[in-house]
This record gives sequence, structure tokens and C-alpha cells, in this order.
Amino acid sequence: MRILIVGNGAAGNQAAVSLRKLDSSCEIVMLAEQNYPNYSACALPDVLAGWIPLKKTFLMAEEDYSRLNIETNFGLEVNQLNLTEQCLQAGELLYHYDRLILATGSQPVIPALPGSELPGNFVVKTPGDIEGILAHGPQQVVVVGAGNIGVETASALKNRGCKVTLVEMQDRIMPLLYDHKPATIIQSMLEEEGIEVVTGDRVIGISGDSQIELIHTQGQDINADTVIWAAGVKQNTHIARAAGLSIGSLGGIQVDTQMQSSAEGVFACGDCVQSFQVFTRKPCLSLLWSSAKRQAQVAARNCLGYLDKYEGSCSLVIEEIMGIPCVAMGLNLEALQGYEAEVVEHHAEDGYFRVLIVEDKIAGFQGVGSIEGAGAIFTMIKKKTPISESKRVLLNRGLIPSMAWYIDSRRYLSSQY
Amino acid sequence: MKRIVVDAEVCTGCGICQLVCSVHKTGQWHPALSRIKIKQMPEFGIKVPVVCMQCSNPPCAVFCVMNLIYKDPDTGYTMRREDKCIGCRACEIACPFSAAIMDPIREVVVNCDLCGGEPVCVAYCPEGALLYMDEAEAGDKRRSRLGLKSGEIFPRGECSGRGS
Repeated sequence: MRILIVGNGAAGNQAAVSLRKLDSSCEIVMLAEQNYPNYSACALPDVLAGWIPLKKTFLMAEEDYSRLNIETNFGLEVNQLNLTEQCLQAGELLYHYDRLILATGSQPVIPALPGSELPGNFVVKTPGDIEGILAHGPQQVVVVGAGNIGVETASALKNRGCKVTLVEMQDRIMPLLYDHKPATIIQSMLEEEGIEVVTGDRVIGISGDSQIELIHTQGQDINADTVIWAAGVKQNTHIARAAGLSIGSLGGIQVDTQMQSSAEGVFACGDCVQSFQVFTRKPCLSLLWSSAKRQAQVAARNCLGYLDKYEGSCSLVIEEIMGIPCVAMGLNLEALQGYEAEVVEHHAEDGYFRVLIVEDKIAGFQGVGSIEGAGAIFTMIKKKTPISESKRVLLNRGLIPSMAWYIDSRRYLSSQY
Repeated sequence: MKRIVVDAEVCTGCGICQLVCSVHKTGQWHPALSRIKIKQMPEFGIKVPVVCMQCSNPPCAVFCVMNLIYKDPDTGYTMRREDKCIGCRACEIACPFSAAIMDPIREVVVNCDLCGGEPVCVAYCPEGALLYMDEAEAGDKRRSRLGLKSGEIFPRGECSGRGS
């Protein structure tokens, strides 16, 4: 069997490795536009901070691909997908397939604003971007978008000695992950680190002749020589769209629970798909490393005929700010609109924690501080364990020894403990 | 596959396993550096060691952003290429058993690697609460002990039915 994988991000590489683990004889061909072997995009801010060398972000070398007998064609533009002929056109070449895995990923967006084409506008996505930023030698930086990438990049550049301003459009930082209160705590931590945080403001233009000099937001002008755009990504779905695969309402490739797209034998995984949230079962775009890897595992198994089902996306994001871990998992109050969510808050001596409970189940957890026992909470979110059931186990002398790992999580569940 | 199985009924919580683990793995004598952790619940008088369960599809491996956690193809152990770890702690939270441990000295996250097949904690456990064996074998052992116990509660002759 000949399996074609488009894309060499987290999903594409995981799919290739999972396929090879399950089947030693099938032919695996990877095509990708990016000319890099497998690298970890999540580690790029650490490179920017100077904590790790850039070469450490590469996860696989060319020898690893040949050892696994995976044919790689990187740096190749994929033009067209023909579903009836089962072939993919890349440049002049035609690649036939029996099964196809689309892992085309996503692209960071640089909005078309005056000045956004000047040198000094960067995104953080590939090792090339990081090399570009380091070669540019930033002194005064504006990071646009305070999502997890924005916050990590801002923190990293601060560590490098730059003057950093973080601009967020919404009223709080990391609006997709945290509620107002934990976001405010994290914001004050960032400010203590020396990062200027501006919320509820957006960049409307950049001025400068041959280089960036001034960033204009709605409220103020900021002196800067570098702008880092972390204001969201766009799914790369043009190949799928042109081939006539159905595209979901949020702009990702529509897949079923086996990660199969609307065409049989064509699977999709990673940032380019529209999956569903584990708690609400509503469609969502999960743009996280872990979701991409799990989806790729499911796609690879189903591709070879082993039945596997995707259990739904559940976000888990951890940032370390000034050495203090900040964790967000599941949904926040904004994402739980329409549900009656109970908020259980804990101001403990080792941190602030908030658990969101919907219909006796944990829907989300946000914490700043010690993360002991958070792993059990994450499992409860994924498995939708009723809290009454967890408490029954925790209060039962006979049951708890065989499930001792729940002991640390009890402090989050209720203030009675 | 063999792994460390905990016999919670026998454990006294002495903490020797934590100390030998830390000294064997890091050279330092500190329970916080141990890969096996004793969970305590004083109100019930419960002390139970928790250690890596060697999951078949480990969630820590899925959440690792550096793809450094893998199942050893020969032994089936969950192993890490620790030199590649950037200490992001994602695996620590993804682990339901809190068995991925941050090593604060090297700033990497580690898990129990069963000392390559000869776990020192099992060797040094004075009560025999830690067993290095197959899960099925441990289940047999637990069941037979329960059987013996019920024999103590209902000695021969007092039970109704055959054999009395």
C-alpha cells in the first residue's frame, strides 16, 4: 500500500511514525512545502530566549527518515489533488496514492496594514523565522496578540534583554484559555517581569521608511524596531478546498471521528482539520501540538484498517512565567456560554486555582502556582468523570488505596477538603 | 510486561523506596528527587507509593512537544531521551498518576525506567509492598491473599456448604 502524507509538522511526522510502527512494509511518502525536517514549533520561544540552541528543536534528522524507510520530498509545492485519479500534483510531478493523509497545518496571519510589509515584521512558526528575528537584532519589540505563543515570545524576548510591549485586542491576556481573574494574575506576573501589557487595544498601522520606527495602536504610539505577529493562524485548506473536500463551518477540513474527510481513503489531521471539543462535542479548531499528534495517531491507525476513534480535543496549555507554572485545561467561562457553570475558586498558599463545573463534571481548570495533582484533574476532564464519583472514591477508605493518585487532586475539587 | 506493582495493604510508608530511588538516580539523598512518590492521606492512615504505570499508549508521549518519550521496542518500558528535554512540564500534567517527576537539578522531567529491569526500590522495600512482576501475576497474588484472609475470617467448620 502506498500512503502519501502532505505536511511535515507535528501531525504529518507523527502519522508517518505511527504508520511505520504498525506496518513495516507499506510505502510512506511525505510531501511538504516547508524545507525542514521535523521540528518542534513549541520549543521555538525557548530558542528565542536563549535557553536552548536552535538545533535542539529539530526532532528528526534525515537519517531517521531513511532508517524508518520514509521517502521525503520537502520543499515542494503541492498544487493539486485529484480525488478520482487518486493522485497529487506537485510541480511537474505526479504522486499516486492508495491512502492520503492531509496534514497541511496552518499559517500565522500578518494582517494587511500600512507598514506590515516592512522588514522587521515577523511571525514565530518555523526555525527560519527565529533565525530571521535573531539576525534582525531586536531591541524594542511589540508582540501583537497575547495568546500562548504571544506570551511565550514576549517572555523570551524579555529574557534576551529587549524592551517588550504585548498588545492584545481583547480585555485580557490569553482570552481563549483563561478567565478574567487568572488572566489578571498572569498579566501582573508578566508586568513584574518587565513586559508592558496593553489590553483592549489593537495595532492599526506601522510607520517607518526602510525599517519599523513607530507602531500605532488605537490608543497610543509605541517606539519599536520589531513587530512579532502572534494574532492567530489560518488553516491551510486550499488543496482540500480545490479538490472538493467538505470544509467545516470554522474553516477547517471536515473529518469524522476516524479522522476521515468527506472522501474515502483521504484522512486529515493536525491544525488543518476541524475536530470537536471533548466536553461540549461542538466543532472546534484545536491548534495544539498534542491534539495534532493524537489525531495523527488515529488517522494512521484507521488508514491501515485498525479501528480507532478520536476522543475529542481537550486543550492543555502550560506556560512558565518567572518559574511559576500557569496551567489552563479544558474550557473557560467564555467557551462555556450557554451552560450553567459553577466556579470553584481556591486561594491557596501555593497558588490560585479555579475549577469550572458543569452538570457535576469538570469542564475546565485554570491554575497559577503549584501543579501537583493537576494531572488527575486533566484525566477527569477528558473522561468526564462525575465529581460525585470522584468524591465517593476519595472518601472511601477501601477504594482510595488502589487509586492513590487521586489524593493530590482532592484539594481542587471542593473547599471541604 | 513486567512493571512495578504496589501492594497498598502492606505498605507502611517508610519512604525507603523514595530514598534509594533518589540516591540511585541522582546521587542525592532526597525524597523529592525520587521517581516513586508516597501519597499520604493521614485521616485514613493511608500511605501508598505511586510510580509510572507504563501505559500502553502513554499520554505523556502524546503531550511531549519534543517527541522524546517512546516505548522501548524491546522491553516495552516508557523511556525518555532526557538530553532533549526542555523542561516544559506538559508531560507532568498529562500524566494521570503524577508519575512524571520534575528533576529540579537538571531541569528535566523524568519517569521511572525500572532501572533497566532491576528496580532498586523493589529490592530495598522491607515490607514487600513493591513487586516487580506482571500485572496478571500480581492480581493472582492479591486474590490468593484475599482467599487466605477470608479463610482466617471464616475458619474451616464455620463456613456453610461443602468442606465443612
